[in-house]
Amino acid sequence: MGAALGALLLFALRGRLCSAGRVPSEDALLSDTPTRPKPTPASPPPRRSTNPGKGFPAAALDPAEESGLTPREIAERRLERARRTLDGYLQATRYPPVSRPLSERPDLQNARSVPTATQPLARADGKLTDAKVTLSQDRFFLVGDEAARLTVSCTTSEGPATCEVRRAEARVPPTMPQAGTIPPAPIRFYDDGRDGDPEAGDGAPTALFAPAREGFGGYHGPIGVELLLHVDGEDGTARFEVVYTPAAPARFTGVVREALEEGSLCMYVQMAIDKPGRYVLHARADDADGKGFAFLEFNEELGAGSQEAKMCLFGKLVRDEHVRSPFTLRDVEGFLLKEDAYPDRELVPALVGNVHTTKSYADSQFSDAEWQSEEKKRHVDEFTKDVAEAEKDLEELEGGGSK
Amino acid sequence: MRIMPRATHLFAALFATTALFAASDAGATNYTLWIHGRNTSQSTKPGVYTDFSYWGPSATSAGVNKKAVNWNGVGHISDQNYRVRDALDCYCTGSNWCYIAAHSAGDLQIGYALALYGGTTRSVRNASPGADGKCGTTGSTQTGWNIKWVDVASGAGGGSELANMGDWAVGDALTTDLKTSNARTLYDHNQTRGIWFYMFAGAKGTAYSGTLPGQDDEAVAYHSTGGVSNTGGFCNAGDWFCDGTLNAGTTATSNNVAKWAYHTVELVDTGEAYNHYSSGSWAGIVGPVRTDMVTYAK
Repeated sequence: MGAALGALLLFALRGRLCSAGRVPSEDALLSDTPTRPKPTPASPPPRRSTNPGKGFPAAALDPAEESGLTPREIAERRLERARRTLDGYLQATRYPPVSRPLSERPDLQNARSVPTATQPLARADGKLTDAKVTLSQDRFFLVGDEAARLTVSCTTSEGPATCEVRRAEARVPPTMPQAGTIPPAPIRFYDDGRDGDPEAGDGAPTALFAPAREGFGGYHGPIGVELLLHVDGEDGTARFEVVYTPAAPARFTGVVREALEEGSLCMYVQMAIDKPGRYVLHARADDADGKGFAFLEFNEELGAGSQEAKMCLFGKLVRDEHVRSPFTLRDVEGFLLKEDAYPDRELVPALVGNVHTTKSYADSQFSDAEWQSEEKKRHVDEFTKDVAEAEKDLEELEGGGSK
Repeated sequence: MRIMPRATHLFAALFATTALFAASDAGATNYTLWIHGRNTSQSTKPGVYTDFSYWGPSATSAGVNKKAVNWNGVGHISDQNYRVRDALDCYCTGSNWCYIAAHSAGDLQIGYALALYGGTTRSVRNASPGADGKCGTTGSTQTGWNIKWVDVASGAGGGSELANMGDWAVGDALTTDLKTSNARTLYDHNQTRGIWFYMFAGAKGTAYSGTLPGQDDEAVAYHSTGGVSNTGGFCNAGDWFCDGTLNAGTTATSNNVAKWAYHTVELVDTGEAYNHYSSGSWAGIVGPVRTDMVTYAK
């Protein structure tokens, strides 16, 4: 009983027993990794797979020797993998890559989605803290006069704790060439229910950071907002990051025209393009009940001037989702992609919210045909060949009477 | 019918034979491309497809016609991604097909390439690279690349909290991309052009368990290596103090956080046997991926 309690205590304190250190390279980790036992409740045995356990030699062995499987088992698994590849691809390509069920995008249901980041409070001496910091922001990319809402909340092992922001500063990262020329800017965080703070006195301060107003107006690239925090008696830092575009390369005009084409409903989103190039756009569509059902993509070259980005609700997707029109196009966002560069994009100001509501259409006006293309045919032909070869290999083994 | 003189006939046969041996990479061929992760020593040779120094001995079996896709290992994904696209153009166009293996930040590299360039027009190339890693063109083009599937060893597609904690003053450009918010917003992780990503998630991590949530392999946590669509502390079944369990396959975590589309977990390290490091001998989580390639990439 004492040993069990001791193990439980050790496990609960495992964070405190470890030294966080600075960001290690994988090379450094190879030399610095301490050999510290990790007390956990007993784990079940390793999951059976084609892979043996740790300490596997790097010698050139054949698959049978490597995996411990018989040739027949290997042939069966290869056939299974080949079938899975073909079936998976066929399933995935019922619709084109640019017109997908919204359910496939759990992390992109709305525009400007950014996951929260929770991490220990970073102490100057590198020691691990009991305090954890959660950073939430309403956007990662911003353009022009836009502002990002940055909220920090804190916990300790005893539960929610007050985050006291003692200092916050926005600065260009040292890796950027402009780091020495653009001075850092102080940023105020508030917990008074004003200035962007959603709830007064909740211990989670918020700031509205607008780069253009803080001296970053002509700068294109990442900006870090570093906080010095005091949490339940501990001091440390945390950092937000955004990527800023000073001047938009294009804008959505808000004009959208629609056309039923070959059984799919296509929406032509009008843009005023200052900088020609490859534009990558995303949008969502809701059904008549306001339920999101489609995720649309545009990834094509556009010239300067007035242009249209075509995004289609693929007919079979509409039919399979069993949705009723009129449909609403919403949350249209995107950027000019800059190949082989960093930053790799110039942001177009998003149209957040409802952008266009279509006319009503009968279900029968949408085609139930699967997507076809040269790309799809090429893949299906190859994957079908792989299945045939794998079947033949297995038949030959079975015909040879292998065990 | 024109009858060739004997000398011409002999020359034609000799030419055909020579062409066959000289262009041994140019026919319908399957390749296995290995895309490495962060490499602060920048020791690999970009454009040299025979340099497997990041992984282990080059004589080791690791899939059919294996090629090492090297990049500088410290630069921004967007800056270095051309190395990956060059390799894909070289070996995965025309009648040639590829299996892809990626480690750590290599997950970001292949994910970025597929999401942003996977539907673009590519030149069909001849699988005969020059010193710069680019292959010659054939005059044909196609949409995207010929990829069968992708194996990912401890993928950092979702970033790592170690990068979040990083010291800016000493961080390299790639560390910025490896922050969880940066990695997850860099591209649409669900856009794989219908190609499946098989995720191999290691759990032999101890030193950074206070920083990395849930199970980790000492550099990357399960939320990333398991292809989960949000951050969180995900663990093996039976572990304590976690947000949820990382399930095998495409099943969401036990607390209902979905995986990215076309991502399936092939290995959940319930025995905590695999750490992050290849250690120059195809070790760690790279080991099971290598075995998977040997078994299936033919």
